[in-house]
Parts: sequence; structure tokens; C-alpha cells
Amino acid sequence: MKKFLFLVFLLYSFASLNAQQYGKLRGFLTDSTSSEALAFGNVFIEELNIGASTNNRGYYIINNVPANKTYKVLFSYIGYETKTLSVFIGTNKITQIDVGLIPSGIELQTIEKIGEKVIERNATDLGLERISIKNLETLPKGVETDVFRSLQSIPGVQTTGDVSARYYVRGGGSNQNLVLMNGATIYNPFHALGLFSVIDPEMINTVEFYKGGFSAEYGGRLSSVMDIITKDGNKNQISATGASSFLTGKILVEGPIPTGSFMVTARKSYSKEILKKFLNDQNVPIDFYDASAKINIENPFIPNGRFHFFGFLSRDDLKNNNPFKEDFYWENNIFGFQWVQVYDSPLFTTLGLSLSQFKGAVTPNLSNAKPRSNEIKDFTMSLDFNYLFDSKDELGLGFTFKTFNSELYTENLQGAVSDISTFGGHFSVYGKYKLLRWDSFGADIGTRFNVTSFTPDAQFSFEPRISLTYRPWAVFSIKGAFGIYQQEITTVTDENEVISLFEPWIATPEYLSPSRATHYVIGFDYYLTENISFEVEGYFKKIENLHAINENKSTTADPDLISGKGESYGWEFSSKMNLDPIRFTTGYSLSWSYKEVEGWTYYPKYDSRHNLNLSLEYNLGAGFTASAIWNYRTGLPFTELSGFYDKYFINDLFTNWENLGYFQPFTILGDRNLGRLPDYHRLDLSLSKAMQIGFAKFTLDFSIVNVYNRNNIFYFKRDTGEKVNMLPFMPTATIKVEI
Amino acid sequence: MKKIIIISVLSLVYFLGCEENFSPVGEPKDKFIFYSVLSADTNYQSAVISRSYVADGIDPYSNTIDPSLEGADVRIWDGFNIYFMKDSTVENSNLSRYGTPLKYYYIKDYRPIYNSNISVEVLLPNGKRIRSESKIPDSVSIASTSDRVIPPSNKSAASINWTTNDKNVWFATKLTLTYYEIINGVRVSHQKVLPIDFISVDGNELPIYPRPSSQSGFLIKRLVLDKIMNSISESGLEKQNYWIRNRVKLEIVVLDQNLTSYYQSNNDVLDGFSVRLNQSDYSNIENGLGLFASYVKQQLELRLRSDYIESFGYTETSF
Repeated sequence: MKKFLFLVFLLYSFASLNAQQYGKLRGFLTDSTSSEALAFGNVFIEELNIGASTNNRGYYIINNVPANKTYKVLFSYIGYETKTLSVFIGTNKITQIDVGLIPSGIELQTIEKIGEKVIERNATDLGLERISIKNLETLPKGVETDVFRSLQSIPGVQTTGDVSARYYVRGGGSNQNLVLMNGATIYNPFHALGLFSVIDPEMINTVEFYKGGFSAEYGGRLSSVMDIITKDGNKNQISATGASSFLTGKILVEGPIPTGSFMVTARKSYSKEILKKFLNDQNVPIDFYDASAKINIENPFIPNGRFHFFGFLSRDDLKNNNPFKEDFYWENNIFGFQWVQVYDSPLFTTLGLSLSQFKGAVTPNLSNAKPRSNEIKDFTMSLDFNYLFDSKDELGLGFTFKTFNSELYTENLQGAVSDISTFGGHFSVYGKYKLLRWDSFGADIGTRFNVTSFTPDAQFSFEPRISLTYRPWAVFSIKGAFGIYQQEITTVTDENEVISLFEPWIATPEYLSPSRATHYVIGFDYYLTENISFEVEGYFKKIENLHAINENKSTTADPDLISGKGESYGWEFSSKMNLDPIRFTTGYSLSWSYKEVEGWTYYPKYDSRHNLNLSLEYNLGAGFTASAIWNYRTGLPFTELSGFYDKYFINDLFTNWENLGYFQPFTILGDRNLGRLPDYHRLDLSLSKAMQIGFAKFTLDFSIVNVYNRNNIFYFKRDTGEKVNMLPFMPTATIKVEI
Repeated sequence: MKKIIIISVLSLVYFLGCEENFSPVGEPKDKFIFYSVLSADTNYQSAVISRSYVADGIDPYSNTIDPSLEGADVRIWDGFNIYFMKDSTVENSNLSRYGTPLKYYYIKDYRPIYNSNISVEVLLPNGKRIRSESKIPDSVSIASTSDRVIPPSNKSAASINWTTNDKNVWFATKLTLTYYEIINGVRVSHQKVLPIDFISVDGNELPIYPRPSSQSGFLIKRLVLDKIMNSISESGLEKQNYWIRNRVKLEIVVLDQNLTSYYQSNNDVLDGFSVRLNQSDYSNIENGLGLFASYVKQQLELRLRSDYIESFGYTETSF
């Protein structure tokens, strides 16, 4: 604690020494109707041609503003009316301006964001995608708006089909993606066999998604980070939102409390019919729900601080009500606290405490399914400091202490049992320095240092990270990033499963080293105009100690996992055109990924050479919005049949073996994943209508999935050769009411 | 013009929606398959050798050529002893779906010893060798705490337990009750395999039989036995015309580790909802596919209490 106070004092003193001739402008940008933070909005000082973006909590700060002058400051955000204020900046003073922006009317949805290319000039944001509430609202809904599915249109993010919300980033496995909710890890972020995510979009304020080259404050995963900040709740008035789709019903209630606000969401599935479309017309008796709550209050002890208490629960039950069939459940329980504090200096701190628990179990009953169970308990404490110097440079420091407790019991198909218990601690410290003092150059240089007790082979590790941006011209920049990433926990995942009921987490076993990845990323962006931009990124990712399931495990003593290697590389291209009333985005990736396990090199199941996403959104006026998304990708790998043999099946163990059973044809598979499925493409259309009736705002959305009913092959059954297709032509609708 | 546009759009939609020609069949692989499951309880052992085949598309039944192989040299190594299997054929349409005599290999005078390590080496007609190993399971011993008389008079279930030195083996168990119906003075023999429980599904009582498992024991519930005993007289004869044998046969088959893994990989599933792109295909044959395994079958008898038989009005018999 003494060290912490000393550090705060040191940073504070440093700030005082440097703030002699300039003033600072800071504050929070919010929605005027709810006071909800507006993340990634722009604040722009017109006379100086400088500005800042708000962070994921709507906070902004502009240092080094020449003092004793009044400036015209523009506050802008997509979907909101731009506000212009005259602001006087005093010498050596921090001028705090909290601004509430008014949402554009239903009829006019502005897409204006002032000063974008100036403010983001030297941002070290390679590989970062930011998704705000407004972005989510404009996505085609499909069956259920899903933030995970919306990621899949980002170049570099792959899927194995319409049916799964699981995603694979730049050649990495789905267990290499970190999903954080207010800083707490969600271990199983999926409902319904991975068809949908557990994240109800109604609870989201912002999502930051890093698809590689992420900086030192994030650790524990090799490929990507999704950092979700939930809404604080309406600070002005009690309000409620209800929505219904073919799959779920949900409600959001939010409102003010003394010195703060609250938000509660709940979502429950009520129909299984639509799930059949996803699962080859198979009846799957799944019920699921999720609920979240958040309470926010002002720090009663120090001004400009906020306490956030939050909780999140999700549960899926698969109950057959038949003693000869197995039952299954899985659930996430998360509770946490965050203290976000802004000081009387450009110092911003966040203290986080969270407990994340995942439990799942297959109960075989009298079926011939295998009993399996997994439980994770993760207690995490973190403290982050962010200090902004007058020179615009930023210093970030922080530490995370985590205890990790996992229990796993499984039996594989050869009957080999895995009964693994792990308890241990993980401590990591990071430091990074963002060099932003030059307008045309930015650098983010940092490292993590980890001490882990549950991975004997790598108890101490360094993860250096660097991200650079050089903008020789206002409209063009070159970016690069390098980083080493370590993952201490892993899943016992069978990559032959395209739909997984069970994906248990364990600590890296003592006989293996933790997986480590090295990212090399290069990128370019180009602004043709303020509203038309292009980005190109190239990446190379190498993974050592890549864990794969041991398919030859036949006794309890055999290892569950074996070690391999991975490599992926590619190019990604994206363009964004905001030409009111049309918004058009393009994403294309050209990528290769390989895995090498036990001397065999093969393409992982999500490797696709070309991937193209086109998205068109058209504001028709009068509350109508139309959108179209077309996705094309070249075929995914699959293992071909290379013949048959007559296999012996046993049906009676009490007579001589020749008479015990029978011979039946069985397929022989070729070399793993050498074949390619046919190309995939799909067009989705959506039409939304927003209207105000009395005090309620109604939003109706009608979508058609797979408009031209393309028969995209999901997989073929090895035993029968039957082709199983992905989603067929499917009209869906949702209704949302806000009061 | 409108018509042209509409026709063009519809044609495009039709074209895009069409399924592409796609075959999941790749380059054929030539594989050799060997099956032999040795019994430690008989002198007669056999094996089957075949090769993989291709078919017309994805229908394996379109292949009409018998893939079984003759002319291979099959040697079993048991310690320092070598045993050779002879090849032969048998006319058995149940075993061969090709309408040809099944080709197989056999040996008449080899009984493996419990708890011994054996291996097999096959020299195929094309000069290729395949091999495998197995460990014959050890015998089981009935635990001293195990009940030998059923149903026990002082508890609701009899407990049957056994011990073995083997690890990673599974046990299959079967309890068989023999009874006779005396019809017009003629004795008609019947056997009932005893379930370990009954379960009610949609109003119907369904028997649950013991499944092969790693558990070295099971319970015989009194209530289950009662139901079976009651069901014997459902054919409507006078009760005294049912003669119940006062010995219940208990068979325990010990599967070696390879047969255990093979049995499970063929008969069990991880769950009914995960979708796997490959089916489990356990094999312990080097350079080939199939199974070389062994098992031990042991048999003993449990006494069925006389007073219990008579309480149902049945007649006790010892033959």
C-alpha cells in the first residue's frame, strides 16, 4: 500500500512540475438522455486542430492546451448531434467539461464524427476494432443479435460455419481468445452448444476487440482479446427495454439511484424450434438464460471516482427427460467490483476484483455417454495506472494477481479417465510507455512479467510488446507491432468436433510448457476523405508448445495433451465508406494457417484462403434502415474418405469372438484436412423500422438469412456420407420496445 | 426490360443457391486389417485378415469383391514359443456378405496363459508385415465379503464383488436364472438373464442390464429379483409346475486393455449432441488396422435360497 501511495504521489508531483504554461481539458462524454458513457467519441479543438478520443468509459483528456484562451470545442459521436462549446482554458488548470450529446432523431441518423483522422493520427491501434452500442444496433439482427457473430465480418476472424458462434483469429484456436467482461474472464461465453454467445447486446456499452499485436496490459491468451464494458444504467430516469425474437425474450431495466445508477438485464430462451434449423433438424432440448446487473455509485471518499459492482450469470440446461439419454448443464457465475478513479492530475486508475466461476457436467444417466465435469474458479485482483504527460506521452503500469482452481473429470472414447485438479497462483506485472509527443509518430512499448505457480516448466516469463505508428502524411500511416504472448491455461478440446458440448479448461499440465506465440504485424491506413478510409494489415504468427488433444490416450496414465506447433500468416484489407445515408464496408483476408502435431503438418479446420465480407447499410429515412451483408469464403479443410474396410463390431461378449459380433463397412480417412469443402457464400437482408408511439420507442426488424438458399456444406457424416448443410433460407423477426 | 431484370435476378438466385458437385472421396489408401481376439479359456483361436477397398462413391455396399486375404503367415509369440495359424475357409453366409466362403486363420492347440504377454506378427502375401501385442488378463477372485447366497435374508440387496491385479480392464457380467415349465409332464427349459434394475419410462417398466464397465462388482436388489420371480409364472401354469433351479449362473468376462478400448470406442459416445468429423476408430495394429486382443471368461454359481423360491409357490430343483 505504501508503494502504491508513493507511486501516486510521484506521478502527481511529476504532473505538477510539468504543467506550467498550459492547461488541460478533460471530462466525460455521455448520452444526454441516459448519461451512459459514449466510448470512442471525438473531442476536437478546432483552432488548434488537436483532439482526443474518449476511452471505453467515455473519459477524455487533452493536455498541453495553450492557456488563457477560449476555444471552440466540438464533441461528436456517431448517431448523435454534434455539440460545439466555447471553453476557456486557464493556466495550470484542469478544465473539466462533461458533455451530454443528444441522440439524432429517428428520422435522421447522423454518422458524423468530427476530426477522426486528426485525432487518431498517431494512435497505436494496429489490430484493434472498436464496437459501440450504436454499431451493434445497426447490425443485421438475424435470429439474435450477437456480438460474437458480428466479429465474424472483421477480416482475420474466421468461423467454421453459420451454426457456431465460435471464432478463430488469425489462425489461432478458439481457446486462444480472451473474453473479458468488466475485467473478469468469461470461460465459456457460449449458449446452446456454441450457437450463440452469452453476451446479451442489451448489456453492452462498448467492445474493444484486439485481433493481434495487443499491448502489455492484456495477457493470458495467444490470439485475441475481447474487452467488454457493460452499461452503467440510466442516471436520469427509470427506463425499460423489452425485446423478443424467435428464440428469446429479454428485458433491460435501468435507472438512477442516489449518486449513481443501476442496470439489470435478463434473457431467456423460450423456443427450441429455431435451434433445429441450426442442428440439421435435430431436436435439442436446450433451455438457457443469462442475467446481468450493475450498480454504479460515486466514490464517497474521493471526488471523480466511481465504484462499479457487477454480476453476471448464465446457464444452459440440456435435459432429455429420458433416463436412457444423457443430461448436460453449464453455467458461468461472475461477480466483480471496479473502482475507477480520476485524480486532480492526469492520472487515471482502475482497481478490479472479480470472481469468475464456470461449471459444466455431462450426466450420462443410463445412456452410453461418458461422464464428464469441469469446474473453474478464478479470483482476480488487478490495479492499473494510466498517466498522461504534458508531452502527450502516456505511462501505463499495472499488476494482476489471479488464483486459478480447476477440477476436471472426463473419460475419452477409449475409456481412459482424466481426473485432474489444479490450484495455483499467477502474478503478472506490466509496464508500458506510449510515446505520443510527435504528431506523426506514436509508439507503445511495454512488457509483462509473469510468475506462475501452476506451470512448473515456465514459472517466470517475459512478454515484450511494441506497437508503432508513423504517419508521414495526414491521410496515410504505416503501423507495425510485435509481441510475445503466453497462455498458461488451455482446453482439452477435440478439434474434430465442429459442435462441442464440452470444452473443459485446465492449467497447462506439468509435462508440457505453456503455449507461447509471437506476433509480427504490419499495417497501412489511408483516408481518401474524412468518411472514406482503407486499411491493410499483414501478419505472421508463430506458436510454440501448441497444445492438442492426445488422440491415442488409451489409459489413465497417458497424457491428455501433446505439444505441437502452429504458424499462420496473411493479409487483410478493409474499407469503410460513410456517405450519408449509405454506409458501406468491405473486409477481405488472404490467409494461411498450419499446425504441426507429432510430425504431421496440416491445415486446421478453420483455415480458409480467401474471405470476403461486404456490408451495405442504407438509411431510408422515416425510421427505416435497410442492410445487406454478403459473405464469401473459399472452402474449409476436411479429411477425405480414402476407402472402406470391414470393421468388426461386438454385440455379445459371452460367446466366442467370431460369433460375438459382425463385420460392417467402415470408412478409412485420408490425411487430415487435405480436402476442401466447396466455397461458402451467403446473403442476408434486413429491414428495420423505428417509431415513436406515445412514450415508447418501437423497433421492428425483419431479416432474411441466406436469401438465395445456398446449400453451404457444414460437414458430411463419416458413417453415411450424408451432407449436412448450414442455415437454409430463413426469415426471422425481432421486436424491441423502449420506454 | 423489367422482365429481363426479373429473369436475370431469379436465374442468379437459382445459380447461387445451387449445390455444387462435391465428393468427399479422395485418393484411395491401401490398408490391411487384422482381427484376432484370443480366449484364455479355449485351445481354439482364430483370426481374420482383409484389405481395404474402394467403392462406387460413398456406398461401400457397391463393392462386391471379398476383401478377405488368404496366404498370410500368422505367428503368435508367447514367451519363447511360436504358434502358427493355418488358413482356411468356412461356408457361412452370415459372416460373409459377399456370398463367398469366409477366409480365416486358426490354431487348434493353443491356450494362452493368464497374465502373460503375447504378440502377433503377420507376413502378408505382398511381403508387408503387420504386428501387435496383447496382455492376457489375469483371473478374478471373488471377494470374501461378497454374498454367495441370494437374496440375502438380512439386507435388501446382495453385493457381488471380485478383485484382480489388472488395471485398465473392463468387466462384462451376466446373471442367468434357469427354470423349467412342466407342461403335460414334459419339462421345458427356460433361461432369464437377470437385470440389475427396472426403470419406468412412459409408464412402462424397462429392465436395466449390467453394462461392461471398470467396476468390479454389482448389486442384486431383492425387489428386482422379486419382479423376475413373479414374471416367471405369467404364462399361467399352476405355480408348482414351475421348477426353479437353485443355482444362478454368474459369468464374468475380463476384457484386456485393447479389447476394453475397442469395445468402448465402438459402443460409447461422448454425448449425443457434439458433432465430430471423425468417428472413433481404435486400432492396436502396427502398419494396419484392426484389433489383436484377449479375454478371460470365468463362471461361478450363486445359490438361490430355497425358502425364497418356495415363497412364490414354485418348486425348487438342483439340476
